[in-house]
Amino acid sequence: MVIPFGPQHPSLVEPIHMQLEVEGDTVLGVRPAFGFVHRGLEKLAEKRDWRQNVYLVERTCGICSFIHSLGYCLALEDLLGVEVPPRADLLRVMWGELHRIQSHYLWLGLLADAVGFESLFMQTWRNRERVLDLNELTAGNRIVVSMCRVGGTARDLDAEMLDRVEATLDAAESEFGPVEHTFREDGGIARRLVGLGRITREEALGLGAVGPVLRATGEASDSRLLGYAGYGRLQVAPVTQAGGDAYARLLVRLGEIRQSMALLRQVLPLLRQEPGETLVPVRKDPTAGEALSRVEQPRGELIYYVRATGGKLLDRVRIRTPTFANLPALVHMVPGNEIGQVPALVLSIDPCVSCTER
Amino acid sequence: MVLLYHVALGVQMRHLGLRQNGGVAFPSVSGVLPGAWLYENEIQDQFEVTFAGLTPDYGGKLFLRRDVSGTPWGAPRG
Repeated sequence: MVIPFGPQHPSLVEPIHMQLEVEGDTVLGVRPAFGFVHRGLEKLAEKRDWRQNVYLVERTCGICSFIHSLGYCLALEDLLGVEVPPRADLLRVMWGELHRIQSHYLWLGLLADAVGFESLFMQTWRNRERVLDLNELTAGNRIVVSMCRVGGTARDLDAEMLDRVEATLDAAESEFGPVEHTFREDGGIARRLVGLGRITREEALGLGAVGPVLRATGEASDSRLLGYAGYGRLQVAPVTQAGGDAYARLLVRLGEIRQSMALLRQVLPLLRQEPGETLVPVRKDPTAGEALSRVEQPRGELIYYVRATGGKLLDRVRIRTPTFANLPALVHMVPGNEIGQVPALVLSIDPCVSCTER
Repeated sequence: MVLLYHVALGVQMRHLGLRQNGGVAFPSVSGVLPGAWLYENEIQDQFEVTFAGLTPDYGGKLFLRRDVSGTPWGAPRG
């Protein structure tokens, strides 16, 4: 028997469709279908000035938008030979990590909701609001902050603003404690997730998995180790777990919220100690050539490939998003599980369909 | 036409280009890298390119609707 899952499903915010081949309650095979929210952004990027594309690519994702603009700008800066001011690199880390925290909070809330833990869902999203408020405070917008430019950042933060960021971070860190404790210690959550969708490190590597899905198998892979933006000056140690299952993915994301807060603690003193420019004007168009950037999104590695032939328009902009990379692993995980487990399993990779379909 | 492969393990990345005449199917690498099936299906959607041995093969309709003819980029450049 074949049972359709999605594209509209209570556990999914975005449309994914899967044809589940089942026997009794057990899923034997799965065939996913896509294309419900495809926007053709890569094609659109060929029709706009390379500067305008910063705004376009930022709208690839409604959760980690800043990191998309960062990946695109890094590729363009490589192509143009632009050196970004060190202060802009630190600000990029700050907004990137704020996006990671709020994205993981979003996922934690969805997970709590999916396992029927409504009060935990509400507390998690209340905490997320504080991070979104920080985005609004520093950038004027809560999600699509539009702070990245080719050559740096659009805005600097003064000492008073940095104090307010630090005070909010203090509060956010103390509020995270009880939520983290509940996710780690609640027996109901563990019973739903332990052993669910388990894959080995070798399987994850062969399937091209990235981000928390890969790190939950014990592989210490994190694009921030490349040292892009200001990460080269900071201590970044990938958060890993050995379980390979949905519970291990949860633990990785909990650890990464702590890690992002620690990175912000490293960045804020540097921003206080090192005043300077945040934007280098770029007045030339890219010459013919190609460039590729790799950045770490909350869901894993994001890749931007750009090719120019000279002039204002780019010849090709290719966006490889982390959920796209994690879908083969998801398809591999589903068979063998019961139908009732599929929603939590799909959720465990933190799917972003908007990113996947672009 | 040239098909570019960017293969990464950790921070290491290798870039490979496979040049082939138009109208000839590229060999699928999904037998070696199981996760490649999704990438190759997307390329079939976007360009007038096919992959031999691709499983599962969506026949150029991964993202595109079944009633759409042609591909957004047509034949690849280069």
